[in-house]
Amino acid sequence: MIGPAVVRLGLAGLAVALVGVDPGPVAGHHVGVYVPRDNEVSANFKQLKFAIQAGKLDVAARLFEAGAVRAEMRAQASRLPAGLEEATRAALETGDARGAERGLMILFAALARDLAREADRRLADPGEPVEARVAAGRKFLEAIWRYYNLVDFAVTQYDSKAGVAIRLALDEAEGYAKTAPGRPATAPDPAKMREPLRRIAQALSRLIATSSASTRRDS
Amino acid sequence: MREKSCLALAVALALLGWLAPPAHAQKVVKIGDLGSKVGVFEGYGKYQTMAIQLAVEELNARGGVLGHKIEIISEDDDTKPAPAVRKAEKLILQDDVKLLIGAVSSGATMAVMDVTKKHKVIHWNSVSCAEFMRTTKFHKYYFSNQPDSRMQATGLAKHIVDRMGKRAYIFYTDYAMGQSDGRQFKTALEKLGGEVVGVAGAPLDTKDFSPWFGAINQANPDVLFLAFAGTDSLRLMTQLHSFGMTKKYKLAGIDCFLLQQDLPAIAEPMEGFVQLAHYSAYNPDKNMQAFNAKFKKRFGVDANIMAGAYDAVLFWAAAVEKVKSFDADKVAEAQEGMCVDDTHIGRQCIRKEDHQVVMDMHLYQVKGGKNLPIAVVAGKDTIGEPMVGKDPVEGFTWEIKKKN
Repeated sequence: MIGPAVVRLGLAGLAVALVGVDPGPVAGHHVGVYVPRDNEVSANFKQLKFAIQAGKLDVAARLFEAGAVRAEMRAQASRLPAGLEEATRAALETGDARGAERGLMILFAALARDLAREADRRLADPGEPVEARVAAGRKFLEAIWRYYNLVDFAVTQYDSKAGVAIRLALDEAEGYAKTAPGRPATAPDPAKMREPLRRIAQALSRLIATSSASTRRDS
Repeated sequence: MREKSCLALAVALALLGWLAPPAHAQKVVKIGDLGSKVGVFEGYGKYQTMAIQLAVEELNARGGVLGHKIEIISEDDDTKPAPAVRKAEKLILQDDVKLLIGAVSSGATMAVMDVTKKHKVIHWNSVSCAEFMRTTKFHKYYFSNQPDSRMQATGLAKHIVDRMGKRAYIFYTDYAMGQSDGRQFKTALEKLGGEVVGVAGAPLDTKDFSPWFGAINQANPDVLFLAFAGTDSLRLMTQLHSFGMTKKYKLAGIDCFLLQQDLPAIAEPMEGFVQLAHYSAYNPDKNMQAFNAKFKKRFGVDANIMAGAYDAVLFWAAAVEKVKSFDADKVAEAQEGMCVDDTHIGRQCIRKEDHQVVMDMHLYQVKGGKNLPIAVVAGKDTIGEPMVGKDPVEGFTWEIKKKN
């Protein structure tokens, strides 16, 4: 059900994000241990991250050039801060691990933000039955978490209030996507999911704006 | 296409250059670093890596261990038992690590314990705190310098009875972690003459805690003991605060209640919260400050409770040097009862019977988003009797014993 909307928007990254989404319930954000299956973008992110953490920025630079993360940066360039790809590459080439991690954080924050916006739009569609909207909402939450979880620590270190607000909002949206245990009267409510999704998008937009500004200052 | 081939070659050459030993290289011994390297628990997994790195750099600067340069192989376990087991097997069977440190979550650590037992590899845990690891799951090669839930509950209960009030209400998240913390705290509090005036378990994934608040208010405890973790803790504290209950009751919990990095964002609801831990960068203790200074100098950030991973490497290296061997049986025996002076909190010793480091801990109170020390609790007073092979909660009941 999500496919057509994705195609309409031409969001290649979103399509990648939503491929292979488990049909099961979105569970486990509450303790932060739930980790969705990787797609090629998140898998490449982890390769980059481990190489950066190991101090092998030359290896990371090569993984970046050949990998899905850079391809995603190009595909989403119009929605990303100007010069993000160049700044990330420059950080990798000059051994600036923090700068490289910040570039990756901005990309994944932007991917999560766009998914939150798209989820909000889809949940508002009165043409779809409630069940379909709830199902779509769950898949979007899974996709948002796939990307946001990767950079949560970086986000929280950069702006702890943003990190906490996003996790709480994801958690709240998840609550509206299912029936509460022991409370069958609380049916999933796609309309209520929209407000926390908007908060996620807003928090991530602010984060992208402020962290991009500091990227420019540092460069 | 040609570009891709060139690139692949370049990457391969780079990796070869990275991996290939130079001529006349020093012999190498590998150690494994396993845990949550990406995601919400990165604050533990990443700091574990840094703590290990610091110890290894210091040891290598002095010639390594037994004439071998130490190399670290880090692996991410997705904070889940199944990948943790796969990565532990990879570290042991493929990389031939002689020491494995990890994991972060108790579920993953307990799963990895089966692997280290099977393959006879020295295994240190520096953050997981389930009570079963030094009791029913214990094995010869397993060691821990994380105070488990029994140690923490015992230390907290004494402070609570002595300083905060005798009547406590236990509110826990109703799955393994919360149940474990809750029952250990109840047992400890009742032993010390405190009174549990109520207990409640909120199902996992509860979004709205307010239905439980009425019962808590009705019981009117002196202290509210909270056994939650991660986003549950954030949500619960926010809701307690909005109901005025963070001001009405004294609050306490164990050290994994909240991720350290989240504290500044929820400083107001957490103000006054008491918890127990072995380390805080804000503790003026000279050993902690010395450790934090070198950690900060090396990595540019304050250390956190993962400092224990630093000590794990020191204990293992000291034992290897003592027995002049990497043989796990010999190293395990050498570690039993061993003391090391230069850990992140000074001198520490491993108890022979259950391989638990007897750690002094501090009680911390949150003030302005920082964990500030308010009291010291001696490790010998919290470690409890060795219970290897025994059920640590045998005979436990949630029944409330009313006091007149």
